[in-house]
Amino acid sequence: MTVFNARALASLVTVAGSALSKRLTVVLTALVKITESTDDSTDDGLRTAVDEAVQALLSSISDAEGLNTLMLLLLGW
Amino acid sequence: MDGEPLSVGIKVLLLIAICNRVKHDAPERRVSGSKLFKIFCEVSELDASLYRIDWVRQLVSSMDDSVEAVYVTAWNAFDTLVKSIPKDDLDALVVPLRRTIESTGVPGVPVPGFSLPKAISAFVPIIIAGLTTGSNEQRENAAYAISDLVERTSEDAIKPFVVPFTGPLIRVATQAGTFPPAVKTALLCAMETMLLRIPALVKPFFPQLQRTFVKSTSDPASVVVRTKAAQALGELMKYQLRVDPVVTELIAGAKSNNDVVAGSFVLALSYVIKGARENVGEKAREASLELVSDAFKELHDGYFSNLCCAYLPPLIPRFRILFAIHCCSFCRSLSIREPYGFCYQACIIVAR
Repeated sequence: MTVFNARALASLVTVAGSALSKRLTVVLTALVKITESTDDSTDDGLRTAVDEAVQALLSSISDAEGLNTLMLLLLGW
Repeated sequence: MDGEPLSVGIKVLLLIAICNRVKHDAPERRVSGSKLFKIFCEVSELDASLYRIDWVRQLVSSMDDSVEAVYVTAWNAFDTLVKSIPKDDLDALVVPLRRTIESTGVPGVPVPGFSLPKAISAFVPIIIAGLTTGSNEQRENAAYAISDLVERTSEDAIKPFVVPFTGPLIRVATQAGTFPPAVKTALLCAMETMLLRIPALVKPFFPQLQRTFVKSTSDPASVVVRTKAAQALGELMKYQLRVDPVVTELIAGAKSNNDVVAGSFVLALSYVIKGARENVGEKAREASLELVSDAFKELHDGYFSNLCCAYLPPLIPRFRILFAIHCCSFCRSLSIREPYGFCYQACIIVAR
């Protein structure tokens, strides 16, 4: 993932509405993998961008289905 | 069910059944779970109250994780969660919270996440809400939650929270007249655990604890409450130098109540003498002996007599001979069935 991709995701999720629910697991898992990676190729710029994307994603969940998907996912981690 | 997607209620049930059993293998992922939930609590405006109980279970049990990063983030997320809950909803969480604390770690071994500096502060709002404003069940569980936390937290970490817990415990216990025995027992249990685990820290509360225990020894409703109070009082007397006033009070209680309640006073007296050992003064000893002697002079309820023979004499060695004499003369003077069992038990004790 690149900084550009992360920023694009961050913008996209804010306008995705309820369509977000279906993709939530895929998107969040991809983002979390970056935050967890320990290798040096992940620079600080990308980490910041990913953190912002995660914040944007979590605050954009707007319906019961999305909430349930998120809770199920996080409780399973 | 006409082809509709599963209702939220059923999804929540499934979630409890499936997810709570399993945690992710990789510690990094467990960290991420807590971290993301913390962020969610901070940024989202959605009402996630349906999932609160699951998160309480998940986060509190994660505080016993072997990896430091996991229990630290779990605690942080739990702290954020508790702060995000409206005050009126806190007491509803006390029952699941207590169940989770109880099944996390083992008594006597500090759980790492509970022993972080100030960690208990996150538990305080829920427990105090349950203890002071909850239903009977919630009050009972709040008291047990304190007891379970004290058993699972290092002394340094629990220290700043002894006052916030003990104060309300005693306050609720003094108005306990209105509560069912289960609540009173739980309150006494929590106070006793504190005495057992952290006696030095509850020292400022000794006078209030003593009053509470003595009062509960005469609880008319339940023998369980009276017995618990008697045990706790005995525990307290290990740390008290002046025990004679308590002994006098208990003897007075044993004389002025009916046999059933008086039996509990005798039981308490035995625990007190056992706990206080040589701190019991000569006069108080004499008075205890007299109480037992008096018990032989008239016919009492079996419970009372049994307690008198079974508990007090072994604690006061030089009483044994006197005891044997009394016992024999008593059995001779009464030719009904009960004293024989009584005499038999007494003889066994003397023979020991």
